[in-house]
Amino acid sequence: MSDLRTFSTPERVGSFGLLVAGAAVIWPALSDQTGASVPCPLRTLTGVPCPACGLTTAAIALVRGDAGAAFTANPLIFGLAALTVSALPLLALRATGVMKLPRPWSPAGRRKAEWFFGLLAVASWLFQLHRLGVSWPW
Amino acid sequence: MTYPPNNDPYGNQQPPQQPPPYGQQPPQYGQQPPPQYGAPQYGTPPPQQPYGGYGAQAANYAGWGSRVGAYLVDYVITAPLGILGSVLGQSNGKLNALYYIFLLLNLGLVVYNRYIQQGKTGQTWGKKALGIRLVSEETGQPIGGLMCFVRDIAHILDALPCLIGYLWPLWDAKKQTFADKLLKTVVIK
Repeated sequence: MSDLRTFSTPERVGSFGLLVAGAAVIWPALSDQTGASVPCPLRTLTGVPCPACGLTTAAIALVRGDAGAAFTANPLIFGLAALTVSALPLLALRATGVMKLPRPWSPAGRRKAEWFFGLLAVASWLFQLHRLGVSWPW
Repeated sequence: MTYPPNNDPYGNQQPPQQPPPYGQQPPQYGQQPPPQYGAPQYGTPPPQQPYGGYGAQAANYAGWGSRVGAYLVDYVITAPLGILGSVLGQSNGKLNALYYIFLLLNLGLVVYNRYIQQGKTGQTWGKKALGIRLVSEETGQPIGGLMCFVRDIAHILDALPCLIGYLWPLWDAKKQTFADKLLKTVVIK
């Protein structure tokens, strides 16, 4: 079995995206029957949404082919979907040993990526604050 | 200082010494061998490993999949007691003594597994099955039962922003959750 260490970060996130896609197919079968949902702990406790709010709704909408609803819930899901689709062939090539071990990112490259994803998280948070607003529980 | 510590005997193993060529006397005990050309001088700190790469140091950190697998194993181990408690612990819609007995047994098992055993050895049964270990980032040693308990409380931070903290090891250089960062712990292979 290939070790997870032999995969790069985008490939690992992409493989997580595969899990999300699988869960998005299975989850409605459970939630439609039971009415169960995955509430955001931060929003439940404080009334403030987090940057990842709406991802469950967006994932379910996307696997059902409703791109509009997915975008409205959380546009980040398209980034995860793109990463998942592009990571699939890389994962296969890496697992079969066709591709060599991934090269480590340089410190500068890692810093740039951290800034990029940090800004993306801030943008997503603003989006969710605009979409859901703040509903103080007290 | 980061994991592995510089005094880790397993991290600083030298390759076996080549015997000296015929005709050369090996250095006597107590004598300093002459420095080799290009070799670091005594007292010179060793070169730092690149931070966060897939290479030497990063390879020791346990992956997200192993951590999730260990959690699932621990969950499966304690689940039967919970199931027995909910099945046998009810009669006529009311909770009976068996419910509380199984609840206490379950609690005891969790305390032993997550705090006592993991605190001493760095491994729960799940982590042992997956071959991973929770250690202090600074000392490379198990963190003790109390800190394991504090770390479990700190997992609230991982859960708060839609569980993002639990996903953090997927892309973090040291594969840490928020709780790991707060308590300076790492999970290693």
